[in-house]
Amino acid sequence: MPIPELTEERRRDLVKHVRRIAEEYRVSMRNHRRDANELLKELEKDGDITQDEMHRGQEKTQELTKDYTERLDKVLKAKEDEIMEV
Amino acid sequence: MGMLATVINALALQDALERHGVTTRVMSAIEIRQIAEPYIRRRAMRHLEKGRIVIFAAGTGNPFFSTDTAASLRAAEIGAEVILKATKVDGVYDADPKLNSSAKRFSELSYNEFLRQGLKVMDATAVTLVQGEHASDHGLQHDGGRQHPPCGDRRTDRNTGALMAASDEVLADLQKEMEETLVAMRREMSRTRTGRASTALLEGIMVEYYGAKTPLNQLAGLSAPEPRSAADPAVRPQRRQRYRAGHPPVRSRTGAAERRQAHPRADSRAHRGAPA
Repeated sequence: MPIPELTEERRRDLVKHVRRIAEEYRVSMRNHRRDANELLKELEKDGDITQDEMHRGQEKTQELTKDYTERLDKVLKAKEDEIMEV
Repeated sequence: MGMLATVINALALQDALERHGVTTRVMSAIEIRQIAEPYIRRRAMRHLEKGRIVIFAAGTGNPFFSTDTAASLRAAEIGAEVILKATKVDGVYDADPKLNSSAKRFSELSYNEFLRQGLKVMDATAVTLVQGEHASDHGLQHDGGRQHPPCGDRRTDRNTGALMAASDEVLADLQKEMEETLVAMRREMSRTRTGRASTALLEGIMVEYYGAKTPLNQLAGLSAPEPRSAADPAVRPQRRQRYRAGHPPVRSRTGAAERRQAHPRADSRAHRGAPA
């Protein structure tokens, strides 16, 4: 059962579509980072961890977020290439 | 001089702990009466019974013995259950990870193994000492190399057997969530079809078979032999046999295509105009 080629226009639509999805997940990652940072602040306020530890922790959450966002972008790029490939 | 330095460190540690409201006693192996108590085993035990933290300073009080040996000796004397060594490396490796990037970290290590491999994290004197004390070859477990807060919630990290600080817990959870998000994103990406043939296109299509609606992928093997043609030649011979046997056939090829389009999960765009 042959599947017809996508039109150029349809390809562009699909790229837009996957970009939108990727953005949603990027936002979700940032939300996770925000939650973690708030949790760290709370721990610091309650005296469970020191201020230094909180800052170190926040640096780490930033690092993690960056790392995972990059990986997400890579997945997105691969998908875009797959869509645009004729 | 090294021994005196450990006394200074002990006082710094004491200060830090007491700032958090923990009672501590520094016991020194060399007498410095104005600053620290002299080390007397029974007195150390008494402090511990009272719930105080005892900091042993000045090593063993003899030169040529490392502080690791001192730690092992004191641990044996007071009957400690565990020795944790805090260093800048996050575990015990088979080589110095600072010099050798291919160094492997041990998750568990027996005393004998440690001595046999001549590892350098702790000196052999120290290891031999605890080994004698701990006839049951219990094994070394390494501390995660993390800086622990003087107080607070901790839990044990299963991987390293080390105490984990509350902030590490938050980070571990965050990493898990990030990983899950990435997996979910990958899954959603693969759901967006790209005009490439894939058996997923045919998923969820119901066909009438022996008078009952049956998912297509249950009655025929599906595959995508090349990117531009879906389904599988194997579907056809199977079907033909069934027609011949006089069972209610799939109504018509076009009929099947219509049902396919009617199904909400099938990507109808990909099928539009496709000769079924």
